[in-house]
Amino acid sequence: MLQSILRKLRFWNLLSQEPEKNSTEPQDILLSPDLKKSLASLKKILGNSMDVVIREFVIGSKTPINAALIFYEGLINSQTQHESIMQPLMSDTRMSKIEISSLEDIKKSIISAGEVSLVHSMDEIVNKCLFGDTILLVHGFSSALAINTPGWESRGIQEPPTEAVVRGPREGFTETLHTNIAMLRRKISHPDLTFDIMIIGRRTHTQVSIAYLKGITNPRLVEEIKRRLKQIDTDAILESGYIEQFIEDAPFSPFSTVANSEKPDKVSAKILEGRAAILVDGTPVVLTVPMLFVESFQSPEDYYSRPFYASLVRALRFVAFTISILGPATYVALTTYHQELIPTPLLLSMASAREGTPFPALLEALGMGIVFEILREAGVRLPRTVGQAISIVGALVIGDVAVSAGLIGAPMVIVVALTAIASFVVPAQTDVGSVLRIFLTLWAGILGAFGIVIGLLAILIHLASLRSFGAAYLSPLAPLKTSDLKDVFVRVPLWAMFTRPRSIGQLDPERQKFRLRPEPPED
Amino acid sequence: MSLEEGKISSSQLTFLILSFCLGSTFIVFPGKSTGQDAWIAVGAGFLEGLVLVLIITGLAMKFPGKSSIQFNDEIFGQYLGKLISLIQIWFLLHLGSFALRTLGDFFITTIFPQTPYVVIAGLLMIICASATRNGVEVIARLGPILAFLAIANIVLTTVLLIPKMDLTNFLPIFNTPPAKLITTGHSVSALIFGETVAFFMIIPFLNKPQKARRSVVTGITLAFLIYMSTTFRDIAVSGPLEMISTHPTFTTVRLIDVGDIFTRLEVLVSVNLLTLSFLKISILLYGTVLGTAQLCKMKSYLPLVFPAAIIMLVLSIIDFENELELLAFSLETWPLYSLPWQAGIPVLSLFVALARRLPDKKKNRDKPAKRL
Repeated sequence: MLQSILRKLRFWNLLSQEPEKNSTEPQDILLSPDLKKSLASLKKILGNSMDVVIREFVIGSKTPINAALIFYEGLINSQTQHESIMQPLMSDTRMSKIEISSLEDIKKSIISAGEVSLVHSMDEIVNKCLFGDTILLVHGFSSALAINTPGWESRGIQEPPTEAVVRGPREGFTETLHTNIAMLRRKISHPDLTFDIMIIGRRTHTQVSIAYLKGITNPRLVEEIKRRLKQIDTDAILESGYIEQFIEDAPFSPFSTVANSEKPDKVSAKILEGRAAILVDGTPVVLTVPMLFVESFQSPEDYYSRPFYASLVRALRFVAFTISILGPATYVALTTYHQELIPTPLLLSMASAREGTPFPALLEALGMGIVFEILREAGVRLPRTVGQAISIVGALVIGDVAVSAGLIGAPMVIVVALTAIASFVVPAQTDVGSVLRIFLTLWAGILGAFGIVIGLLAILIHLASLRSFGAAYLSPLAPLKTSDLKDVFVRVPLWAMFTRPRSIGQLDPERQKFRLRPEPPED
Repeated sequence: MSLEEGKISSSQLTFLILSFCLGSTFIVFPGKSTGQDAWIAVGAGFLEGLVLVLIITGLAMKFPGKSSIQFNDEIFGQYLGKLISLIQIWFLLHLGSFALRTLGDFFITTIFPQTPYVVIAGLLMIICASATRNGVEVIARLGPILAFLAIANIVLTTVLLIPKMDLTNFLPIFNTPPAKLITTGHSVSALIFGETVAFFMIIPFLNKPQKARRSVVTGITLAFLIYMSTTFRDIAVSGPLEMISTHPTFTTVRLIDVGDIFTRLEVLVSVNLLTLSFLKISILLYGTVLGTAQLCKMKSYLPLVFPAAIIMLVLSIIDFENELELLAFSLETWPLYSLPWQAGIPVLSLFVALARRLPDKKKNRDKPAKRL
């Protein structure tokens, strides 16, 4: 139904669209050799914003040439600019006798900055300026030099609070794209690691980078990502979530088909498995595609710690996820329809605890579920100092007093608390878990076990039909890929992981040599 | 352009066959009338089913990539072929409504005595229809997961029932007259293994057509082994109770009692039956709509899914008056009624195809799938 509404909206959009194009965008004007003319037209485009700086000066002393620097204050590092542009141009040219016959001369022998490029049009100049370049215009030349002198304030590298680990690197991505790219490059020091850059957003001009390993990532995957990114024609990309919502396979599904992470080691591991990462400037959250459902249950720590405990934790996560979506539903079904399944002593104590509570189990479960969601949301948004108040209210008033006042049964509190804890074990599916929990609880209230199974089947059908960038979402479980089961319910030792996951469909399946099992030396 | 672009792997086919065979077998127990000799009847039924399956796969492998609706025209000619296709589609539709009614009645008599039949069957039908709309690939992907859950469930209940087993329940062996064993064996075959004729509509989507026979036979053998073990379990636990109870498996699992903690696990069985029946009905609904679309040369089968689902649902309501009638039908009428579809048409098709030296390889090479 939503899709039909969307179709109608698109139709209206077509009707209301004006045939003429909006002409506020800078058109592709070429530079004129006359510095004054160029500056005048540049000023027109850049406007009179206070952070635009146009610094006019003179090069050389014998035959002085007028020149100008254009940059955005705050986007450039003024020390670098001074040392590598102003000083050489203004004082060094006076001491030595360098003939300036072309911009190439300036680029080659005067400017000491690392990255310098020739630009010819106004468009390019403006774009470069906006990404922190300093533009050097020299009188008499119909092109300009763009000198890379970026330097803006940014947050340092910190441990991401959402993905804390006990063992493993603590660093997390930052808001600066170049830092993030450098962090990935330091993890995978191989020339095959490629970063393709794109600029998306009509107004924000956000830099978006696609990272992949040549020879491992399927080139068709990279092409598909680029195709979908190119289709984005919107005002603003403020966070990678914008990108995610524009490129995901199933926009009407509660399940997310694009994974994200803030940790370079996790993203590197995914790239090494044959996935591609999408880095967006201005956010520490990096997207990786394709995403598989089982990926949510894998944590980088599984691979850093020894396999036995890792496998146990892995299995526990599946159990916890099951509890988190089925906990209240099972409780409602058991107390409403299938009392015979409960052992008699437990049934008696549950009955006495629920004696005198006014609401049916379904209402209790839904109500407590909503209360918990409110508490969670409040806990996330509140400043830390007020957080204690929330926990006291939550634990004491809602947990204890509500039971002793006879509003809800004590078993319900246990179930909701257990569910709440369990739902945080699999962070990637916490949001989906809440939706599924309510959905299944309703089914359990309507038809007991039959309803739960109908609900689960509906979810399973949906999951089995999902795809993420060409990979089946439920793979390697459905379709069954037995060789990939080494990393699903258990995590086999690293030396036994010979192949990369086949579910993703990469080019080079061999991850490592076959005989790597450590053995004692033969005497 | 074809109606269905999906492909399924041979292991998925195996699991689909397994789930399909076990679909409604735990509700209606065909071997009941032979008492403690039921396992012999099951064995005999398997042998008959194996022969049928070999005929079915032999026929399907003669025409790789084509469903029975498509090769019927080739074998019997344009008009007779269409008629036979129509009859085959009716069988799928009817079998679907039969399976739906079996499950719905089971739930109503055992767990939800006061719920209207339409609620249970309607919900299941909606789920099946949505699976069918997603195509053969999605149904096939669900096969292994649901089959695995079912097997785990059966193993669990069997292990928990070990303390209740009494092997003297098998005595006396061969108490039943051989003629009775053979007729019961036939009804086992008709109710469990012979229904695989529906896979005429699924086998064409196999990604490796030459593996069809192997995966079908593996699937049916696994189904037989699981069914045999539950039969053994039921006889060993229930003994004479087997003869009188309406749903022997359900009654047997009800007896589970481990330290007063694990008691009355029959809901697990019903959950199991629901998932398996879901797969079975989805496959049948899929076969019905795909067959109809192929028969009418439609571009897509999707518009047919919900109408066909509603017809199946209504048919399941008007088929029988009550569950006893259903049980009588499935144990007495079905083994004879289903013979033309399970044995008659496949055997006839195979003979005619052999006699007419079909498929004509030369012609097929020139115009693939065009000769109708």
